[in-house]
Amino acid sequence: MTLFHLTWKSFLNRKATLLMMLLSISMSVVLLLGVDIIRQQAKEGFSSTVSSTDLIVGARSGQINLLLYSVFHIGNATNNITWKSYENISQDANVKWSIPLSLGDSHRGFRVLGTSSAYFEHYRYGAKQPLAFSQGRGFEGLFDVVIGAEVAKKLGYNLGSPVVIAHGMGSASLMKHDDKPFNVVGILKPTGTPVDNTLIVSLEAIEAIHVDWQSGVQLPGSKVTAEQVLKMKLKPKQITAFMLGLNSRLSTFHLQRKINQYRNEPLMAILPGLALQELWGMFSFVEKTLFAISGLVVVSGVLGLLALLLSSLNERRREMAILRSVGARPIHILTLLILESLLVTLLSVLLGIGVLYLVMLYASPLIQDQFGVRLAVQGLSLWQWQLVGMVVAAGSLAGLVPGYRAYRNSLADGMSIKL
Amino acid sequence: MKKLAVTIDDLLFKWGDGTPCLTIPKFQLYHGEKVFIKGPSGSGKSTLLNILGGVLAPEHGDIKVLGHDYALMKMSQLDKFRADHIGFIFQQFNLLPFLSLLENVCLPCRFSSTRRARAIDEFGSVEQGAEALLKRLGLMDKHLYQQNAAALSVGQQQRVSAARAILGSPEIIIADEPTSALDVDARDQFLALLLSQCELSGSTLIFVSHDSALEHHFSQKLRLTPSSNGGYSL
Ligand SMILES: Nc1ncnc2c1ncn2[C@@H]1O[C@H](COP(=O)(O)OP(=O)(O)O)[C@@H](O)[C@H]1O
Ligand SMILES: [Mg+2]
Repeated sequence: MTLFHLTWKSFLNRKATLLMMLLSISMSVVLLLGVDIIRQQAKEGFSSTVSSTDLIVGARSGQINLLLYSVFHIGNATNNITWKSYENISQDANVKWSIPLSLGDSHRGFRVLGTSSAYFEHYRYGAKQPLAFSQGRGFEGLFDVVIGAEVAKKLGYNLGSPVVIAHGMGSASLMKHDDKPFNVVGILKPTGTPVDNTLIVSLEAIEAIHVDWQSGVQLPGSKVTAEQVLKMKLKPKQITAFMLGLNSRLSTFHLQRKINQYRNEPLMAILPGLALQELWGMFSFVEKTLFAISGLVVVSGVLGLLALLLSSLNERRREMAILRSVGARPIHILTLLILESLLVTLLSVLLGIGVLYLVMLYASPLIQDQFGVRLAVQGLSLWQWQLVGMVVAAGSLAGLVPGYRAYRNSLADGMSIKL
Repeated sequence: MKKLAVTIDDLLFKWGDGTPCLTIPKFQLYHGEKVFIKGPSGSGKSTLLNILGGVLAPEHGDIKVLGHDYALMKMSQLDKFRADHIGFIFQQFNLLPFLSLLENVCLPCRFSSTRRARAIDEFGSVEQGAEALLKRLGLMDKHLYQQNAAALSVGQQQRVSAARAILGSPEIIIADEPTSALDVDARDQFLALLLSQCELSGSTLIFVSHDSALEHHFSQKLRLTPSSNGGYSL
C-alpha cells in the first residue's frame, strides 16, 4: 500500500465533494479545449475559404478590400476592369485556368455572381474541394441560375423557381431586372463559405440584363425584351475581378509583379492565402478574448479546488495526526495532498477530454449538415496538450497550499488531536 | 543486567505562551517494563507522550530513548526513529475510517522498513502478522478484516489499534487513554489483552490515563502532580 493507494482511498472516502470538483474542473477543461479547437478549426476553415487559387486580380485598391468583394462578396469594387485586360492576362503562359467574376447585382439580399463555367470546374475551397451540386447542374442557357445552399434554404427555392435579379444590393431595391426572369437549374451543396449565399449566373446573363441599361438606370423607351436578348451576341465588356490558377506556384510572384505593373489599366494581384491571414489577424482580439475567458474558467475551477482542499483540512486533521502516529513524516502529508489535487485534476482532464470528444463526434455531422462546416475530429495539437499540461500543473500547484498548511498543522499537532 | 529504555533528566516543557506545563526531574524506565502514569485531565499526559515520541521538544532537559539522545537528532531522524521504534495507541478515532482493518494494522510497516522486516521475520509477511495479532486480540472473524474500520465498535477499534501498535515489535508502546471510550467490561478485557501482548513481544509500555481504576493492572505507577510553577511535575 503506497501513498498513492492511501490518497485514492481517502479520495473515495470524500467522493461526493471531490466528484463535484472533478465535474467543475472537467467542464472548464471542455470549455478551454473546445474553444481552442473551434478557434483552430475556424482559422483553418477561414484560411481555406478559397483554395488552389494562386492569384486574385482586381482594380487597384487594398488587398483586404479586393479579397472582401471577390471572395466574401462584401462591399464593392472601386472600379471594374476591362474584359480585354482579363483576356490578356489569362492568356499568359503561366496561367493554367482563370475564373472571371462579375459582381454588383443581387437577389433578395443575396449577391449575384456572374462567371463562366470555369467556376464550377476550377473553384476550390477547404481542402481543395470542388463545388458539388445537391440538385441540378451548372448553367447552360442565358437565363439559368445556380444557387448556393443557404440561398435555397432561406428562400425555399427548388429547381425551376423563378428568380428576378435586382440592380445593386439591398432587398428593397426598386430597380429590378424583372423583364428578364431567371430559372433555378442547379443547387450547390453546402460549403461553409460565402458561395452558399451566392446566386451564380453566366457573364452573358449579366450582360443581357444590362443591355438596355446605362450608368445604372434603365434607358427609357429602349427596352430590349428577353426574346430579343436571346438572339443578341453578348460579349462582356467589363468584369469585377478574376481568379487565376497557375501552372507552377513558382511563377506566382513573377506574375503578380507583372500584373501590378500592367500598363493599360491599374490592376492589383493578391495572394489569397496571405490576404486571408491578414484579414483573420484583424479578428485576433476575438480569439484572444475567447481564450482569456476560457482560461479564467479554468482558473476559477482550480481556485475552487484550492478552496475545497483548504476547507477540508480541518476535518482531516485527525487523519493527518493518525498518519503521523503510524510513522508518516510531514513530507508524506505534503505529498498526500499534492497527490490528491493531482489526482483530481488528472481525472478531470481525462473526463473533460472524453466529454469533449463525445460532443465532437456527436455534433460533427450535425454541424456539417447545418452549416456546411466540417468539424474535424482529430487528436489534440501540441499546444492543446500543453494547455492540458498547464491545467494539471496548476491543479497540483493548488495542492501545494493546503499541503503546506497540513504540513505545518501536523508539525504543530503532532499525534494528539483534541476531540 | 536490565537495560534502560527511557531516561529523562531535568526536563522542562513550556507551550508557546511561556507558561510552564511539565517538569520532570528524573524518570527512568527499563526494557520490558510497564508503567501507568496517572494525571487529571489537562495535566500534560498527552504532552509527555508527544515529548517521548520526539514530536514536541522541551525547553531544556535530556531525553534518551533506546540510547538515542533526542537533543542531538534532527527532525527527520526523530521521525524515522519514532516510526521504527514506537507504537502508539490513542483514545478514540485512532483508525483511518476509509481503510480496511488489515490495511490499518499494516500502516506502520508501510512507513517503517525496520518494523516491516521484523513483522516478516516473525510472521512471514506483514499481512499474516496483522491477521495473527488481530486474532490474538480477540478479533476472530476473518470477514471483518477486509471491512472498513468505520464499521467497527469502539472496543473493536481499540483492539485493532493495539494490533497496529504491536505489529513489527516496536521496543516501546505508548498508549494515551485508550480505554476512556470503553465501558468497564470492554476496558478490563482490552487492558488484559494489551498487557499480555506486550509481555509476549517484550515491549516496554507507557500507559497514561486519568482513570485510577486501571492502576491495579500495573506494577509500576507514577502520578502527575501540580507543581509550584503552575504546571505539573512527575
Ligand atoms: N498546542 C497547544 N498549545 C498550547 N497549549 C496546549 C496545547 N496542547 C495542550 N496544551 C495545554 O497543555 C496542557 C496539557 O495538555 P495535555 O497534554 O493535552 O493534557 P492531558 O493529556 O493530560 O489531558 C493543557 O493545559 C492544555 O491546555
Ligand atoms: Mg490527553
